[in-house]
Formats: sequence, structure tokens, C-alpha cells
Amino acid sequence: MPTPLFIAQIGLTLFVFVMLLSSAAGMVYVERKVAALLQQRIGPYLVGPKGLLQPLADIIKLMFKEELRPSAADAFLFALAPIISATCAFAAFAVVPFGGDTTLLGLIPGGLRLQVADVNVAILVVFAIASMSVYGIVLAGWSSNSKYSLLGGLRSSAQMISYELSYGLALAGVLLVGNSLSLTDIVNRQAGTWLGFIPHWFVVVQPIGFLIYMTAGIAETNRAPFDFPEAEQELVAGYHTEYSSMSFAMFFLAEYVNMVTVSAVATDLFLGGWHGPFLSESIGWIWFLLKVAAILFFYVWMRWTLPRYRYDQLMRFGWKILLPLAVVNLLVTAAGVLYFGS
Amino acid sequence: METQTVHHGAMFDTNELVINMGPQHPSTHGVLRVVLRLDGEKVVDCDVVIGYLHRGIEKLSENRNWTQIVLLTDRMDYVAAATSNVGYCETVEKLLQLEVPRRARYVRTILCELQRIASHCLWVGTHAMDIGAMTVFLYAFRERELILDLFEEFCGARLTYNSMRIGGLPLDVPPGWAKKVLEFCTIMEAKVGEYEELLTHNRIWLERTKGIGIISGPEATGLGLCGPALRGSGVARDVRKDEPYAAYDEVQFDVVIGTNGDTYDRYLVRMEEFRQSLRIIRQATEGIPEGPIVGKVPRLIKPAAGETYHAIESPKGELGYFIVSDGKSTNPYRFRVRPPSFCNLQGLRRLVRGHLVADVVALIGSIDIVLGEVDR
Repeated sequence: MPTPLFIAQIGLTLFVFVMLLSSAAGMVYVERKVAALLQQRIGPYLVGPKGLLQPLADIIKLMFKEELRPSAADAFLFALAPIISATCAFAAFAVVPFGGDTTLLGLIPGGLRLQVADVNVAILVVFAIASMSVYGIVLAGWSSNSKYSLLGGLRSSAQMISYELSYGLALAGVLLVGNSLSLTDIVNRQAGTWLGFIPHWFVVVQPIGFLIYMTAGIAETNRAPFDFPEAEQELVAGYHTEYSSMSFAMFFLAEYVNMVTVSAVATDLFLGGWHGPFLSESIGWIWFLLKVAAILFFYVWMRWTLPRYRYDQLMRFGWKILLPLAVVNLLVTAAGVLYFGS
Repeated sequence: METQTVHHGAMFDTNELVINMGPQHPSTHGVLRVVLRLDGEKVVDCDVVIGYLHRGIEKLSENRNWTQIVLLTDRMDYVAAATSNVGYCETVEKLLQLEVPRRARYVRTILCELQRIASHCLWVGTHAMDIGAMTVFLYAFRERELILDLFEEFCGARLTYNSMRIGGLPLDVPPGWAKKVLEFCTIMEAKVGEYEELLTHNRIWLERTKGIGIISGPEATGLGLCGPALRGSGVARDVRKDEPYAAYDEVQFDVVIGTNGDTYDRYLVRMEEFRQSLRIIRQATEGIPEGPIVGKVPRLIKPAAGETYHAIESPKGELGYFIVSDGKSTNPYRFRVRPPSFCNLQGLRRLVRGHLVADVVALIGSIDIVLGEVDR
């Protein structure tokens, strides 16, 4: 006999999956509209009211496209690569909490946490899965047996080793302050305020960590100005040059879901998750959505404003600036925690 | 092109990677093909392959009468068609020893400079887009649109204008046009500042353009580079100053030169040229004299046997026409164009060597080529 909690858990899992899918579609629309706004254009407006159905039209178009595979490609890996990318993108979100306990209008007496799985090492899980998603890109680049794709894949691996270390060290700073590896615990430690008006968010005590995390997050999601693996003007479409139809759509989807995940993790780690003034904890997810939306807007804004870095310059930046900065940040944080207590 | 084995020590021997960049590639500015030989992402050598847009304009011209050729010159540098028109008409006028009225020369100056701004707008947009800054492209096209409107009002066309006649202008400027040009100058002045705000001091832009494709003045001269690509290396060569044509000897302007000869300096030179062009347009529009718009052109244009070369400063550099007339027929015996894009393109091989793939697109943008003019 399944308990209401069990049914709610299943429902929540499905809900998160569908929400991630539609958030990716929504992001496509938002990206195009914000880009249009920045470039003094109108953007999509024909399909549906104010062009709202444009992402749907895009998906339908992609589904009806022919699935092409270069004859020289490694068939198995070529098919596997987009699956790895998409799976990793979805999997990472499983451990990300996005709201406090809710009783779902009194249906579940014990209360349900808005999170698919509460893992006590959630940060490590996010970090591990994010690192794995690079395999999707590298394999796609390699298995296509095309020169531009290969360069894109190589760039991706070069890029990964240069930001992952500082990314990890930036997270370590938060671990020290939050004194836990569970994202839920970390969020809960950010409740309340200092002096009554400064929110108890870790961005206040970890500003450098936040900046490093955001910078590395852009590289992580392959967004401009660090979109080297797919740099359109240089590598045509980089690692997914040879992909078409739904396998291309999966890369596309993975990129946007990754963006949402990185923003959600940033919100949990640095911006107090679902904690915020005015709203009670049961509807705290509104705050969560607002914060994620703000970070996503920031990503879109960056992409359409800045020129692209060169990948060797990112490597230099990663090793010579971000990494030392992250190490110093970690040491100072450790000293601070030791001195003041956490 | 042959690939070579690169010896990286005893353990690994790696092959160079040959990449065909173009003719279908997002940033080859038309149909250019660059065969790159790569060691990793480093360009060992490159071969520039042209000819995908060859339409035989030079040969065609030998079978058209002198007036009809104006229309063909439109199709060479199609982002600065009026400049090509002026260059051709002045060459024929030189051959005919024809006096062009002052009013026509002033209007030509205004059109040429408007065209320079339009061409540079397209350049700054595509150059920035090649380096990844998407938004500048649409900003620059917004202002280019204003120039196209001015041209449309003058001659009815927006891209290939056919806006000149041998001996002067086909028609006078419409009433109120001069005022609109001055209004445009005010708008443009502010917008150039907007582009510069997005790029000039942007750290990423600096890192992507400074020290990329450095070429010294003597070497640039030796390669035959011209226009902003040459001036970026500090050579103050500008046909408008050195051999004034149209009304350039009656207006004040500075020749902008760079110091380091890298991509950034070529960028700065063109950005400053925006301002100098506005300065010229303002002076010419305010000082536009009254009078006829066409000189004493014979009904049948049939220059005496002889040859002549005349060059003007197109937005891309020195655009020269060499024309031979046999004195018997009503079409040129030989028609030859020295297109600045073609001459600048041969510097590409020298510029990209040792740089990365990402820099190749920056350098193609930095020499500002139009394939219609390269291939003719």
C-alpha cells in the first residue's frame, strides 16, 4: 500500500523533470527575447501570443529533421554522447533542494521537502555529475570524426581542467562556512539576518567565492564569453557540428538545463535558497525562482554583451588568477571559521 | 598543400591537421576559402583560395560602353558602391580631361564619406561578431540603415546605387537632404561613442586584439597593404591627402595612424576614421556650392587613344582603376581594377602564421575584405 508520501515523492520527481524540460524551453524563449531587447529588435512574435510558442515550434521542427550521421563517425559513441550530456544535465538537479517543507495543503502529515533526493553529500554529487557532463562533449567531438568537432571537443577538455579546480575550491569555502555537505543544511544555515536587515546569505561572507563560482559556472555551461567548444565564428558549431535533429536538440537541452542547475546551486549555496523576507517558508520557492531567474538573466545578459575569450586565455585566467584567488579565499575562510567559529 | 609530420620528441609523432575554412563558414565574410595547416590550434601556415565570386567584371567592361560600366563597378565593393562609382567616373574624366563642376565634387565627397561610414559600420559589426560580441553588429546596422535611407533619398537605391555619371551627378540632391545629412552626423557622433564603450576598453576585446597580427610599417608597405590596414602600422598613406580628388583638398581632416600595427590598432584607426569622416561630411555639407551638377560631357563618350591610372581612397584602401582606350571604339580596350581588398588579403598569410584558429577570424575581420571586390 503506497503511502501518500511515496506517491507525492513520485509526483515530485516527475514534476521536477517536466519543470526542467519546460524551463529549458522557457529559457530559449527568454534568451531570444532578452537578446532582442538588448539588440533593439523585437524577437520572436509570430508563433502564439507574443511568440510564446516559439520554443514548441522549434522542438517540432527539430523532431521532423533528418537524423544524419557522418559515415566515418563512430556510431555507438556518436549516439551515446548526446545521451550522456542530457542525462548528466538532468541528474545533477536531483539533489538540488528548491523549497522548504510543504504539507501540500495538509495532504501529507509529515511534510514533504521540495527536493528529489536529500543526499548528505549533495555538493559532491553536483560536482561529480557536472564533471561527467564534459564527457558528452568530448565524446561528441571525437566520435564525429570531423575536424571542427574534434577541435571543439579538445577545447572542452582543456577548458574543463582549467576551471574545475577553482570551481571546487570556491565550493569548499562554502562548505567550511556552512559546516555541511548537504545543500539543505547549507540553505537552512542561511536563514535569518544580521543586524536585522542584512540577509544571512553566504554571498556576504563569501563574495570572492561567489564570483569565482559564477565565472567558473559560465565556463561549466559553455556559455559566452567562454563558449569555446561551440564557438560559432571559429568552429562553425564546434562539438555538435555533425549533429542534427533530436540528438542536436539533446545538446541544446543539456546546455539550458545545465544553466538552470548551475543557477539553482548558486542560489542554494550563496543566495540563501528559499529564504527571503516577506514570504513564509512554505511558499519560499517563490524566492528561489526569483533568485534563479535573476542569475539566468545575468547569464543571458553576459552572452549578448561580451566578446569571446580565447581558450588559451581562459586557461591562463583559470590557472593564474582564479585558482590562486580561490586558494587564498579558502585559506582566509578556514582561518575565519577557526577564529570566529562557524 | 602537403602536411608534415611534426616531431615532438621520440615518443609521439603527430600529424598536422589541415582544415578547410570556408567557402562555407560563418566568418569568412562571403565566399573565401582559407586552407589552414594546424599544429594543435596553432596555425603553421595558410593558403588563401579566392575566385568563388568571380564574375568577370573587368572583361565584361570591355564590351560595355563607358556609361554602362558605372553599374558594373557597383557590384565590386557592394558595401561601398558609391565609392567605386566615383573612382571609375573620375578615371574616365581624367582620360577625357573633363572639368567636373564644384558642386558635383562636393556631393561626391559627401557620398564617399557617408559610404565610408556605412562600410566601417558593417566592418565594426562583423569584426566584433567574429570575436563573439554579437550585439555591436545590430547596433552598427541600425546606423548603417540611416545612411542607406540618405542614399535612397538621393538616388533611389539602397545597395548598388549607380549614383554617378561621367562628368558629374545623374541628379541634384533633393531639397532638405543636406539638413538630414547634418542631423545624421549628430546621431552618428554619439553612436560611435556607444560602439567604443562596448569594445575599446573591454578587457576581453583588448586581450583578443592586442598583439594579434603585428606587422611593421615597412613590411606592410612591402606586402602592398593599403588603407586602414596600412595606416594601423603607422604609415600615413591616404590617397585623399596625398593625391586629393573630388573636394578633399578643400576640407580639413587628419590622417589617422596607429603605432603597433596589430589588430587593435587597425580597429582604433577605423574607429577614429568614423569621426574624421563625420568632420569631412559636416564641412562639405555646409560648404556645398551652387552651380551645375554635370560638366561639358560630349554626347558620345569616346576618349582619345591612351591610358590612365587613377586611385581613390575607398573605405578598404587604395582603389585604383587602370583604363586603356584605343580611341576608336566606345568601350575601353582594357579595364583593370586594383582592388584594396585583394591587396590586403595577400597579407593574411603573413598575419595569421603562428596565431591560433580563434585569431584567424579576428584577422580576416581586421583586414576588412569584401569578396565581391577581391574576385570581381
